[in-house]
Amino acid sequence: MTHPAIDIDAVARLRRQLGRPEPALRAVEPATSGAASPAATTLAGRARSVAGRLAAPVVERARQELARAAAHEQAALRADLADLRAELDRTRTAHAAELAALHEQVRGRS
Amino acid sequence: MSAVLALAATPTTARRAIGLLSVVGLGTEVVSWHRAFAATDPQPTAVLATSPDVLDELPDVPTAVWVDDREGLRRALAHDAEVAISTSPDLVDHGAIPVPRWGVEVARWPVLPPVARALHRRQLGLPEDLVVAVDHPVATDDIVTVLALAAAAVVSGPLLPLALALGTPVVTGPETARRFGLQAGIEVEVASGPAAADRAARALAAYDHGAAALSRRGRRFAERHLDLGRPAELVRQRLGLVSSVAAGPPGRLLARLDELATPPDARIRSRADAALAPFTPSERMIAP
Repeated sequence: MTHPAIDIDAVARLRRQLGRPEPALRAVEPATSGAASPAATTLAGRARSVAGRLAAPVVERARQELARAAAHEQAALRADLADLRAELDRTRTAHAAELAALHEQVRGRS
Repeated sequence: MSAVLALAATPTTARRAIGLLSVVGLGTEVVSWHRAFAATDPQPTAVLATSPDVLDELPDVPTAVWVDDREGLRRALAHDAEVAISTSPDLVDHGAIPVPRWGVEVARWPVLPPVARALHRRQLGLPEDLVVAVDHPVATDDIVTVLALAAAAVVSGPLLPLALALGTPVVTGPETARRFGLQAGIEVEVASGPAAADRAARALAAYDHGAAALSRRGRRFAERHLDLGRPAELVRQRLGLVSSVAAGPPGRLLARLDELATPPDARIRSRADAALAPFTPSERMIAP
C-alpha cells in the first residue's frame, strides 16, 4: 500500500527519468476515480498536488507557530503545577508534623 | 516508597520540633515514633528526637537529637546520634547545628522591596500608604498577602520572621525586638505601645529610603538568623534523607505513586521498578 505522504506524481516522474517502466503503483492510487475519467482524476490529482506544494510552507509555519505558542503555555502550566505540588507537600508535611507532636504529647498524658 | 521520619519526644518538648520537622520532613512521611513504631518491627528511616531523654528507647537508625546544654550534647554523643541540634549558640562551637527558636523557611518566600509593593498596590487599587498591624499567630494566605503588600507593618507576634523574610518594613515592640535579637533602626523600627507603633509605621511608610533600607536589612537578618531551610538541609544530609527532587525522575515518579496512595504490592509499582531499573546504579557501577 502506498504511504499517503508519497507524492505519486513525483515518483512517476522519477521513474520516467530513470527509464524504469510505469509500475503497478498507479493501480493502488487512492480510489478517487469512481465514475470520473482517468484524465480528470489525473488532473484533479495534479491540482491537489500543486495546491499542497504551494500551501506546504504556510501550513508548516502555522504548525510551528501553534506548537511554539502551546509549548509556552504548557511550560507555564507545568510550572504552576510544580508550585502547587510543592505547596501541597509543604502543607501535608506541616500537618503531619503537628499531628506527630500531638501524638507525642498525648502519649505522655495518658 | 518514601523515607519515614519519626518524631520521638517528651510531652513537654514535642511542640518545639514542629517548625524544623515541617521542613526536614519534606518529601518524607512524618509520623509519631511512639504511635507508629515503638511496638512494631519495621523501623523508620530516621528519627528526630526532641530530647536526649528519649534516646534510650530508640532503635539503631540515624537520629537527630535536640540538646539544650553540654550534658545533653554529651548524652547525644554517647548514643552515637548522627546530629545534635540546638538553639543555644554555646553548643554550636561543640558541633551542634544551630536552629532558630522561631524561624521561617526563607527561600520559600520572595523578597518584595517597597518599590515592588507600591507597584502592586497601584495595580490593585490599594492605598499608597497601606499600613497594617499583624498579631496573628499563624500565617494564613490573607495574612501573607497583607504582609507582602503593606508599605509598613506593625508586627508583634510569631509572624515577625515571615514579615522580615518578605522584606516588609517592620515596626515592633521592644520586647519582641529583644527576643529575636533585632536592633532598633537597623532591621526594624521599635516603638512602645500601639499608638506609638502606628505613628512609627506611618512615618516609615512615608519615608521611601528608610523603608527600603529596613526591608533589605530585615530580609538579610532573616536569611542569617531566622532561616530554617539551611539547618534543615544539614539535618537531612546527616540523616541520609534524600529529597525526591534531588533523586531525579525516578524519585519524582515514586513520590507521585506515594501521593496517589499506591499500595506497596500494586502492579504499577513493580512496573515502575522495572522501568526505573536502568536508572538505578548497580554495585559494579558504584565500585571503584
